[in-house]
Amino acid sequence: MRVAIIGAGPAGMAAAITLIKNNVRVTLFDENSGVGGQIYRNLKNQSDRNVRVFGSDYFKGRYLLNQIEAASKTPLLILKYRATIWSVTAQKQVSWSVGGSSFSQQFDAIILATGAIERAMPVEGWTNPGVMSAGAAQILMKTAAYAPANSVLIGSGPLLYVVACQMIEMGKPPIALLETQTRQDLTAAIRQLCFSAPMLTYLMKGIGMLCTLKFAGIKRIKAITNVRIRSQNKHHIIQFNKGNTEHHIEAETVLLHAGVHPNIQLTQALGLMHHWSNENLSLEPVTDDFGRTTVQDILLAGDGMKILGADAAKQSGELAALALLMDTGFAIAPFDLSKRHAQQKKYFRVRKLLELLYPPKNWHSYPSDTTIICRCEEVTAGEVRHAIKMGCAGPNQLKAYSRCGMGNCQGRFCGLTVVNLISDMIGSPAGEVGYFRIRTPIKPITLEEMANHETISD
Amino acid sequence: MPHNFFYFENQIIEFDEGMSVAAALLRKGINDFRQTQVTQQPRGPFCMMGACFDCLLVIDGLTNQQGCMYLAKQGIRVSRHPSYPLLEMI
Repeated sequence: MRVAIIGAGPAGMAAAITLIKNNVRVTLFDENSGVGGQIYRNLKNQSDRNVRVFGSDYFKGRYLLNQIEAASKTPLLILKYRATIWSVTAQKQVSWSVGGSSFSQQFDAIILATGAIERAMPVEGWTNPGVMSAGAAQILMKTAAYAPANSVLIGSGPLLYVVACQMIEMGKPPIALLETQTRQDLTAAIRQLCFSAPMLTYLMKGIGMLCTLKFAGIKRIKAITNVRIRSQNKHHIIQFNKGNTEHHIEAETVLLHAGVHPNIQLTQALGLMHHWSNENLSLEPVTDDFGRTTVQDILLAGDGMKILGADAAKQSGELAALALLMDTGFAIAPFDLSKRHAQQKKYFRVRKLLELLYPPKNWHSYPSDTTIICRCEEVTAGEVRHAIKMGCAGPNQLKAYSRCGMGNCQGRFCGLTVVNLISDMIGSPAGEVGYFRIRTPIKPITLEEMANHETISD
Repeated sequence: MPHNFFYFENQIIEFDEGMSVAAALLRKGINDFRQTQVTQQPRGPFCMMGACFDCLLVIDGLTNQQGCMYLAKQGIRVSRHPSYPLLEMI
């Protein structure tokens, strides 16, 4: 059996290690130039003195990296870096591009571990140069040891604090955090508190980060709404409301973050079944507890299946690999599965707390008419609302009406906003609105790349 | 002349090993990479992980290169991405 694993973050690495231990041949693909995913991005090249900046959570990824490194010296593991996957079929053929050529290979099973992307936070001015996502700032710190100076972070969620604390450690403290969560969110979240190891770990981490921010004297303004960004050269004026009063603050870089959701480009292109998560307010692929999908021998693992964070992603990678081994006739102790599944459930509770504490807010989930929601084709929320008033029936017809979702990113950053707007306008639950039909190739490739095509046989 | 550098229009941009073209440009304070197709507005890196396509550049004559996914290499020639490259070519 040869298994393709797409995505070399914690889920993909853990799945690969589990399969290799059982003498299964694995090809592990990643679009970046090394393993780690976004969470352990560039960990291999990081010096120990950066433990201060990125924390022990980042450096514990070395355990997985070392095992992948050791496995790569055996014939069981083939690593494909800088490989842009553009097609995965239900017949388990994987196609990818690397260095101007494209390749296809037939596999016996596939584990998709494509991770999360940041939820779009469409506000006026979010397309201006110098306005980025908070995750982008973290990637800059991890890969280029560079943190933008005099920034303001806007939104909510754990990553907002992680990025702010890392910027402080890098000597570029942000000017302020404009946070969207309210006191009511805190009240709702507090009921989810319970005593479990993952819960305590998260709480300690959270309190630690808030102390770091306080000690560094970073201004935190909570329950803010209606953010508008006006930019000129490298100067941004951020207007926002708090209660009934209007405020403004200036910054050189603006970093937005409204949580993360599964990256569903491949699972949608594959035609897997998805459902609307009322907790994460996003589409999630439908799987069983072990990552099995509606297509046999195609499994999911990690944040691409359900947002639970890096530790849970590692476990779900192991779970998917074990389930696959069991399905294909390998002898697996049932204990291995049930033990990991029980651990996984503890992360669900933590996640529920975070989702209640840092929910996306209506004022940016249903943006004002003048706000661009489709960054690629520059379509505003007003144009989308107009199309729906004219009788546009759903996300796919919206493409014909407005080109929304038809640009390079193929709906990655407007898909959920479109679902929200349509749901709001026609009065149907978001889960019944449908989604863009995502088609292969899921990333733009050149005709030359297609012409230089080679089919790899094992 | 610095050791690791590439050309950005008329400037020389230094980079460290393993850095993307977009990261090297941002570190130098350059954040407008392209003009949009519809309204010719300036755009620059947004997601830095290959998802948003707002950091498109022209690199060594090739259009539509994702600056955040393209590893900086010695001597490459990088420029801002124009709004209508196809019309210009015609």
